[in-house]
Amino acid sequence: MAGSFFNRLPFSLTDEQAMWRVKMQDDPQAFAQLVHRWEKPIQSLCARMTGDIHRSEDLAQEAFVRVFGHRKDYVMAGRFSTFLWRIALNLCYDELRKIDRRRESALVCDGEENECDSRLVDESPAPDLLLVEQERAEMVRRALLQLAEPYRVVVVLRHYESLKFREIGEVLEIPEGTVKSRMCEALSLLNRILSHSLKEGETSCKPQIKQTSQTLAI
Amino acid sequence: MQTTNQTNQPDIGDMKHPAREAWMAYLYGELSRKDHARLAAHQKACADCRSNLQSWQSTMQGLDQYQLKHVRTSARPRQPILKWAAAAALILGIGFGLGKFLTNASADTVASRAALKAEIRAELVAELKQQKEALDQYKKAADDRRNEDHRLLLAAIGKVDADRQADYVSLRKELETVAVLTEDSFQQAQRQIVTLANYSQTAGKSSNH
Repeated sequence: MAGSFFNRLPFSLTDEQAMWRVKMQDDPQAFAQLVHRWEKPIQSLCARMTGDIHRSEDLAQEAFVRVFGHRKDYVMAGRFSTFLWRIALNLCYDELRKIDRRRESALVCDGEENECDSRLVDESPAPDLLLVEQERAEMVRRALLQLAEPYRVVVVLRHYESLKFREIGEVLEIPEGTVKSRMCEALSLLNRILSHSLKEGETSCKPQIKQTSQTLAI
Repeated sequence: MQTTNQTNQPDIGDMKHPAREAWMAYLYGELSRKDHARLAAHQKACADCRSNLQSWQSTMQGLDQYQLKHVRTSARPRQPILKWAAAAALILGIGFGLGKFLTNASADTVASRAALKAEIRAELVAELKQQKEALDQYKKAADDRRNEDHRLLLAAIGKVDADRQADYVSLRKELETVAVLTEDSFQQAQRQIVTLANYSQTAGKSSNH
């Protein structure tokens, strides 16, 4: 849809120029350009942070709605991507809180230490998950969801969205060294979870570090 | 890139273990060429670091297996709606086709078209008449207003003219008064001059004597 539209544009704006136009003139074309460029990465981020690919589309859409709503807050000195990642991550955190609340209110496996953490896990396996590759993907998805948010976000942004450690530090407002040490912790933890899953044939159910993230200032 | 030593890691000869943060940068290709070469050399020589590195690399390969399928439309449960819409369209189409096929309504169609035409024409005529009446009324109202304006204008002009006439008469009277007064003053002055002259002559004669 937007691809053919943008092919007709005589020139391409940088993200920051486009966002500036959105901020100053409410330029719909510039905004459409930003959405076109960033829709997929934001969807991926939301999907991996929440573990729900279907919900990720709504979250990505909501992220762009928020970008437009907060357009006056955007400062030219900052990178647009940082602004956008923060908005999307805040939405993911909100979503995870909602899921937690729903889970708590409908908690059936209370008190059982070895009960499976069913957060975001579809209990009935879809037929296509019978394929080995998809089973492995599902295993990684579950493993990621077992990571505490501060670790998960670093893995998602570095490994899947290919942000530099420095950029992740900017988005999360933490030192680059902290990002790297969290990445290291996350990889070690994931290694243990995945090894356990491979051995047991199912994801580990032991409680992980219950640490949640603070809302990021945009 | 910082490759500081961890204090809790043992030395192996004169070689010290790079920090785990440095290994992260190494794994994700964020080191300078020089630092990268140094860490690569270290991991060849150090079994501990190599083991850690292999473990992290194995996890990273595991993470690679979690790829998302960006199926924008098919990912959403929209297909049932599309199916129902297609089914509804099909049924409608069949119904329409059957109706058209089964109904021989050409005579009815002509008759109804004629009736409709007459009706539309009558309606149009009525509307035209109504519009004409409205236009006439508007014209009459506009004429009345124009005549009234004209009358008022004439009255105003007449009043201004009368005022001007009155001013003129008043001004003329005042001018005549001024003229008469000036004339009196002039004659009085002339008389005083004559009196003064006579007095002067009389005074001169008496002094000669």
